[in-house]
Order: sequence, then structure tokens, then C-alpha cells
Amino acid sequence: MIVTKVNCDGYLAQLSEEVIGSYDTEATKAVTDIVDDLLAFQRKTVKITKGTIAPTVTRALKVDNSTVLHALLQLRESVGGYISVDNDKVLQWATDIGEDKGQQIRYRKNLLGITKETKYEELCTRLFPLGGSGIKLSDIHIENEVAAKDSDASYGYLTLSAKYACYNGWTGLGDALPDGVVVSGGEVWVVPTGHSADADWQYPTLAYDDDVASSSYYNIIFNGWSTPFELTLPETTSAKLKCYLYKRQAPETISKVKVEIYHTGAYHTVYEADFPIEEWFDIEYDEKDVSKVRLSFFNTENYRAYPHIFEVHVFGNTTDPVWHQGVDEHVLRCAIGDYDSEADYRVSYTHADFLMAWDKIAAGADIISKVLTNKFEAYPITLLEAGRLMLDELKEVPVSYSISTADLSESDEFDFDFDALQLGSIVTIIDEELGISVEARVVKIVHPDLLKPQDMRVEITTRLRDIADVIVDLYRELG
Amino acid sequence: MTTTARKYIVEIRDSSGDLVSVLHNAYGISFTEAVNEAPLLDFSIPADDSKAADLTITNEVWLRNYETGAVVEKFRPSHRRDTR
Repeated sequence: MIVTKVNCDGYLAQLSEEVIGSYDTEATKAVTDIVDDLLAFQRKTVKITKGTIAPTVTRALKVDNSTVLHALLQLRESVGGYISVDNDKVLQWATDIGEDKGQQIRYRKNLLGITKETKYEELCTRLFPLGGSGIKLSDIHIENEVAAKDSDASYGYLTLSAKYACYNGWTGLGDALPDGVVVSGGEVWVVPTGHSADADWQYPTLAYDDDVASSSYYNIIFNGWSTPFELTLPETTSAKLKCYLYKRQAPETISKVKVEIYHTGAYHTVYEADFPIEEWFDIEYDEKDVSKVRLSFFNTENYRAYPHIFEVHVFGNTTDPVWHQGVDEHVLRCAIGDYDSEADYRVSYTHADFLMAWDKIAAGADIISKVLTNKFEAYPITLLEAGRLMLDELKEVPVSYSISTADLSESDEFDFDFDALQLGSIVTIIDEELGISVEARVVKIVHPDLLKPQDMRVEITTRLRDIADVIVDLYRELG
Repeated sequence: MTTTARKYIVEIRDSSGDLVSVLHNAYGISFTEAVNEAPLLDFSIPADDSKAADLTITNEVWLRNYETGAVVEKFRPSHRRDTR
């Protein structure tokens, strides 16, 4: 017999026949506006129009020599959701489809009609997303991200709060912060780390040993200004310092101290006046990045007046290592004495080349790394968003159930309304083999022969799609 | 399991949506839906059925629920193979 076999595609496939020569948002843009731009490339007489675009996020997108369908699916990689074209040729983009009507399926090994597939090889807890032209996550620098705080008896801790975030350059617990990692918001009293003073200043290192019981002192007879004592410190953004000083009181001939701070290439006087003896006093000034402090004392008479410098501390924010690397790539720590539980700590950092499913990792054996390349992705920030969506799915071992209703109908144990199933419906699988129940989604419904409408094959999965599908989709040429 | 009367019918419509013909002799009608994919419709028809000539690239194929009258899905022919 001569037979004609026909294959037909739904309206969504029409967009695979519309080509985009070049499109670049150049900056992030609302997804709905990007959809407008992509649909505007259509040349057919009867076009697909835009319906309800539920995602409200912004993204950047660059497409060259591709189809409208491929561009939409590429955009969906970083946004999520469900794209379809209805019978009126209207494009719909939902964030959720189907319903959870409380339907349950009980899976048992010896039950015909259900095939269960567990893909352990699909598990990934550390994902390296790569884009086109070598784009990677370390192209991204994050500024002032709020960090989660914690502490114990010895240390204060900061944990990056962005999902799956990792800072670049982690080398080990207690190591200095890598380049590009800066902690702000926690102001501390910074103790100088060095000095410069002439030999008339005795025991100079005692001026910055963080101990008000010891001091450096000026050991000569002088009149007028003493030679300066310069203290060096890690560059600190500060608006305040404090001093603990002494002068001879019987007789009292020193009338004032001059305190200068070094910033923008020169010294600037911030205090020139008398001072209290052996007690802390603060000096405030406009916020500057201070790297040195210099003190000089004025003697009104030619006399050995013994000015003492016990301590000078600068209050502010320093990149110098109050903070150090933590136990892994998303933790920083500092000594508990430098930790301020009330501070609004923020971390700026260069992102590592990978994302880590921290919620799934308890030990090194839990780290399963995979590389995922999307040669069409041109923006690092979108690569990051897409990577997060992908890791949401990849960090769980996917379990799929393929159900043949023709076989199940022979079983008395099933009382399930398959006709009520829709694409996207949530079904609870009670897996008696594992002793668990999981929620899974209907991702595919096949009617092998509509002349037997009661026969269906339904695919239900805990993951929207597996990594093999992702790799195929990212490399295939659509249209 | 009982075989019911035909629940679905396959129609050929022109680009304006006007009915061209109903493929009463279509068989092996397979319908697939999957998330984020275009739905698929596959079927066979005797090649000597005169309505096979209506399957052209400019016409559409509509799948209709005969019991309710509702259109389930609309399609465009993408591939045709005549086997002798």
C-alpha cells in the first residue's frame, strides 16, 4: 500500500524560520522588552505576537546569525520559565504551568508500567559555566555585597550571601585576602605597623605595640618643635584617630602637639593644641585614606621635657588583613577582637570561575565538578544567572519516571486520572523502593495513537531537563 | 480496555483558518507535548486518499477534539514521506 507519512510542528517552530543577523542589548534590559525586540525580526506575513511575559527580571543578550527561537531559548536559560505559542499565534512565557491537584503515584519495583531512571552521572555540585569568546565568571566583579555574619570564641566570620557565590583566588584557611577581595563596613582601630624617627626618640617600636603601659619618648633638651615621629599603617579610610600621650608636668613646658595625617601625597595637620596626659583623646577630620601619621611636640623652653608617645590608633576601614581567607571560597574570617557584630559588613570580590552548591556540600567527596559551555553567551552577568538556574537543577540527582498508561490500566492498584494530567502538572511520586516521596513535574505527554486516546506515555521528572539535553541544546543549530 | 469511537479528528485548514478537508482516513495519529518545545503531530494516510493532496506547506493541520469541538492544537506540516 502506498502510504503518506506526515510530521507536523506546533506554531512555536515558526520562530525557527525567522533569522536574526545581529542583536545586542548592550546593557541589561527587561525580558519583556527583549522579547519585543526579538519578535520584531519576523518577516512572515502572519507573525507570532507577544502575549503575557511573566518574568520581570532584566538580562543582557547578544545574538549573531541565529533564529528568533534559538534566541528566546537562550534567554530562557538564564531566566527560567515555560515558553509556548498558543493557537492564536501568541507567545506566552509563564513562570509556572500546570497545577498540583494532589495526584499521587506509588512506585514499586515489581509494578509494570512505570520505568524509573536515576542518573547519578548527571549530578553536579560545582559548575564551571563558560560563554562564547572565553567569557567566564571571573570577568565579573561584585561590589559591596552584604555578607552574612557569624562568630565563635576565636573568630568573626563573613559568608558571601549571593547564591552559590565564590570569590576568586582562595588559597587556604588563614591566608591573606586574594586580590580584589575587600571588606568594608566594619571599622576597627588600626594599630600602626612601622615608624620613621631619628635616634633622639628612644624605644620607637613601643609607640605602636598596642600597649599603653609602654612608650617611646624624646630624650633630648629641645626648644621649639621636636623632630617628628612618623607612624606608618595600612592605608585606612578613616575620619578619626586617637592618641595616648605624656609630657613632663613639673615643670610643664610642652604647650602643644601637632598631629598630621598623610593622604593624597602630602601631610595635613589635623590637630595642633594641648593634650590630656595619659588618657585617650580623639581627633576627628574629614574622611581620608590615611597611610601615615606624624607627631611633633612644641617646647616653650629649652628643656628636656620628655614627651612620650604611648599609642596612636587610627579608626576606620582597612584592606589590610584584619580579614583573612576562611575555610572555603565563600567564607572570610578575622580575629574575634577585630570583629564588630553590629557592623554592616559588605564584601567586594572578583567571582571565581565556578559556582558551588554550598547547601549540598558537607565534605570534599561531595564536590562533583562539571564544565558547561554556552558558546552563544556573550555577557558574563547573564552567564552567572544562567549558571545559578542550571545549578539549581544539577545539584540534585535527577529521577525520571516514564509511565505507560496502557500497562498500568491492567493493574488494579491504580486509580489515577491521567486525562486530568497536563504539561507541567505536579505529581507526588511515592517511591516505596527508596522510602521517600518526591514532587515531580510532568514534562512530556505522548499519545502514541489518538485512536486509542486512553493510551499515553507520561514522563515525570524531578529535574526540568538533564545535562545531556542542555549540552545538546546549547550546541545545536535551530532552524 | 475498550476502543472508543474516534475522539480526535485531523483537519486541513488554509492560512485564513478556513476548512479545506477532514482527514477521516488518518491513522497512527501520534501527539506529543513537551515543556519548552513545539508540540508534534505525526500521522499516516493512504496515499491514494485524494485529501492527501491538501497537505501543502501553505496549509495548516488542526487537531480537534471531536467530542467537545475544541481545537487541541494547530500545526504546520514539516515533513511528508510517500512510501511505495
